[in-house]
Amino acid sequence: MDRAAGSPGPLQGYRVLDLADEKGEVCAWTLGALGADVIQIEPIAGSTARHRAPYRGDDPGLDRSLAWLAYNTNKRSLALDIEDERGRDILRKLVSTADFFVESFAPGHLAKVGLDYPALKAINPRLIGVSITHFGQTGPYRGYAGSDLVHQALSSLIHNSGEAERPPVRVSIPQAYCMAGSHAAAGALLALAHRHLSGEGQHVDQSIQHSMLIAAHNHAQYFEANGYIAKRLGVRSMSAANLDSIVQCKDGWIVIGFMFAGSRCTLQAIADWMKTYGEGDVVHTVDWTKHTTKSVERLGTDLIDRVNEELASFFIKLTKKELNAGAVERQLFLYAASTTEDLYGMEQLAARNYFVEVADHDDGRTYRYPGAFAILSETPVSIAKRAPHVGEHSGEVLAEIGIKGGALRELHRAGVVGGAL
Amino acid sequence: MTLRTSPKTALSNIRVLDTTIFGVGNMTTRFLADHGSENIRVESRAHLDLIRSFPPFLDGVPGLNRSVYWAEYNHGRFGATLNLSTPEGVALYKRLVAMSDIVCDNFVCGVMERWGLAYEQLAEVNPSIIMIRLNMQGHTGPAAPHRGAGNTLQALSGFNEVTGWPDGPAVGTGGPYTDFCVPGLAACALLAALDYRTRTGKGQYIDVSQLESAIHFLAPAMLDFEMNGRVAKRAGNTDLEAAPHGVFPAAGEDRWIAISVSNDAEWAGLRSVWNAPIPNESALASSQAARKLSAQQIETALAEWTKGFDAFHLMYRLQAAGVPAGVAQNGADLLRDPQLAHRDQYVKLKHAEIGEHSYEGPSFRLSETPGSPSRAAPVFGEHNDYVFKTLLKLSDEEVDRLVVAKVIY
Repeated sequence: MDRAAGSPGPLQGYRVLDLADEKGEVCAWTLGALGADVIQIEPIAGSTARHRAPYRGDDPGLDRSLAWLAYNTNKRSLALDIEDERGRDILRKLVSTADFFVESFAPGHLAKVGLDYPALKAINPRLIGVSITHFGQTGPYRGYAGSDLVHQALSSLIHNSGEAERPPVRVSIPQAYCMAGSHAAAGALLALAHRHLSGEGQHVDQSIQHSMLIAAHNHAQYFEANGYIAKRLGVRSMSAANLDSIVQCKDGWIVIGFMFAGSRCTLQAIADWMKTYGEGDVVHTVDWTKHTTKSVERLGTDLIDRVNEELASFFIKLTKKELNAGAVERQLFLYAASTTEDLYGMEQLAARNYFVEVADHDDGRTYRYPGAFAILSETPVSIAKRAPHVGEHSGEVLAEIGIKGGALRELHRAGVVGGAL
Repeated sequence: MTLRTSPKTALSNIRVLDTTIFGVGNMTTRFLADHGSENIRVESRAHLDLIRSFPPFLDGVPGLNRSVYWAEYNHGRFGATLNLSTPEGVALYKRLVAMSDIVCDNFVCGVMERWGLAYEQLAEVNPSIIMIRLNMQGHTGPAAPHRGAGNTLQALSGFNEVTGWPDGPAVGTGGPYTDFCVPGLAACALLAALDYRTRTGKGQYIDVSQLESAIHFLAPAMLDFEMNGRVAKRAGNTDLEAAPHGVFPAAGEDRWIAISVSNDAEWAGLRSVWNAPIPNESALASSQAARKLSAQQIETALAEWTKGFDAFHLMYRLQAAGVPAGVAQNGADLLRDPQLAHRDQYVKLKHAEIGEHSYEGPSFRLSETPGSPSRAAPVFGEHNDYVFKTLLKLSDEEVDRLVVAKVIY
């Protein structure tokens, strides 16, 4: 289905005020990609989210953090000092025009300055408030410090990730804030659905720790049902019958999903493929289609060790591209492990026009960003405008609520408003 | 019509047909099921969801209705059996589509088309239907037919290359990680489309490529290649800026604690608890860069200390000193986690065969309509009477005939 290019997104007409830092930026980013008007409201000196490595050219700068660039597209920026009562006044005026108010301050902070959800709802009863914090607004861990690593650990994700003889290992690219932001946006949209019924907004309490629980892969349920604790299995992770599921190929690694009875038999399909290369010996002495995982285990470790060796010496001869192509042709549960470079060169993504050329990075060229996370036939997702400079849209946003000219310049001079007027 | 409607749920009068298998589709529509939609799980012995055969099983005994794995992904649903590889099954399914709002499908590319249930055909019976399809790489393009699952897609979308040790294999996480990245963003697309329909009456078709969605969780690394020409690699538990930053051994069998220090205050907090002398103390106290340069030495010394303590005891002490610290929890720990308990993460519901067991709640709480798992996962065909007799108004005789004909199957 073709993208309805140029059509507005499904949330066109809704407005989001985004005061979140790196902990919550993905929430408003998601709503913005779906068409909402997102106004990033950040301190005069800029959001702390602008200060995360890696940077463009490894050169720190307010507009050079790659995470900032990735997760703040489509947003307009108003630089505003909300520690100043005049700044809070402006914020309240904006609240009366908004549908969503997203923030990630420590629990209790906004209450102290009279900007917590009940105060804002009194101004605009239809406002939906979204708070994104490490552990939630209440509870025994309410005041705890967090980080991506801490959340990957507490969620149980890392406990069975990695090699058997080494410590639990995290995904090296931060995950938790992206997870929490996407969940918070879903919560916000559920509140929006309810607003159609009730006429009023409500508050969404998003916990980052809690969002990572989706990645716990039934660990709690495993323990509750069988007393079982998942282990780190290295190259036999998510495999069957002691077969190596993570294997080296000529130019990298592949992952195989071994299926036996009840599905297309992966190992038989691989054996057939090896035959066309004249590869394999012991692997051809068994009709794998007649087996279940358990019956393969009963064949004994010596046989399986030989099979693993034969598979390894076959795969090492082929490239990732060849293996992916063969897997499509043979309908195999096998994928090469892509690098970021591989993803940019991937035929499937090019065929679907996935990458978006984003312009305006102050060097006259465009850069390819990951594109739509869903293709909607009538109201497309759109990731188009680069992340804003600090206060890049201050004048524009304030003009929309009648603050301009001399009054605006005075606020700027007083340091209440920053950026471009 | 007995739809689940209540002012106490965010969604009202919304019916979802979950024609799904494995995890991603179910975890996506679970966001709706937890908040008041009526979800009907449509399945059949003729095209069985493999996950019904995945452990853990109640008491370790396999069975169609005994998989706790399946139950977790499928709570909040009514269950109906309908064989979509039969013309009568397709006809009945279309009648359900006519009275539904959303259809969710994550079969392999081409399956729904083969059954005559592509979006165009569903829109004929219900012009305002929203159909969301989630498969590995989308429904168009040369790799659309490429079968897979979360463990293999995790590799294709780049996670294996960035998870593990620099001198080790591209192990990835221990689970089908992309299965967990996709549902949040997909649920947002679905809920946004639902909102658009509420305002305009128009449905639409949503094509979710799990690959395209999951890549967003690696977006900064993608830009690192595009802008810096650098390919992201496995980095163990190190961080570009934080130090010390790692997973440290604690007392007991396979017990670990994650500790990360990003600024002087957190370092001071750590040193107030771990106060054995270390070289260069004053230089380290006021410079994150100095700590990063000495990360290996600091972390080696820190591990010597942490290994003498219970992981939870250490977490409480370090957190009290303002240090980001978290036990590398396992499944048993999750059930005892006091913060998750405070947020009602695990709700006990009664499953018709498994009995009472825990289901997971949403990760956010709405103040007026909090949301929670609404019912246990269905046993096979548990609500056939509701779906075929109450909703579709088939007679007892008609239903019996369809059972014999393996349409209700």
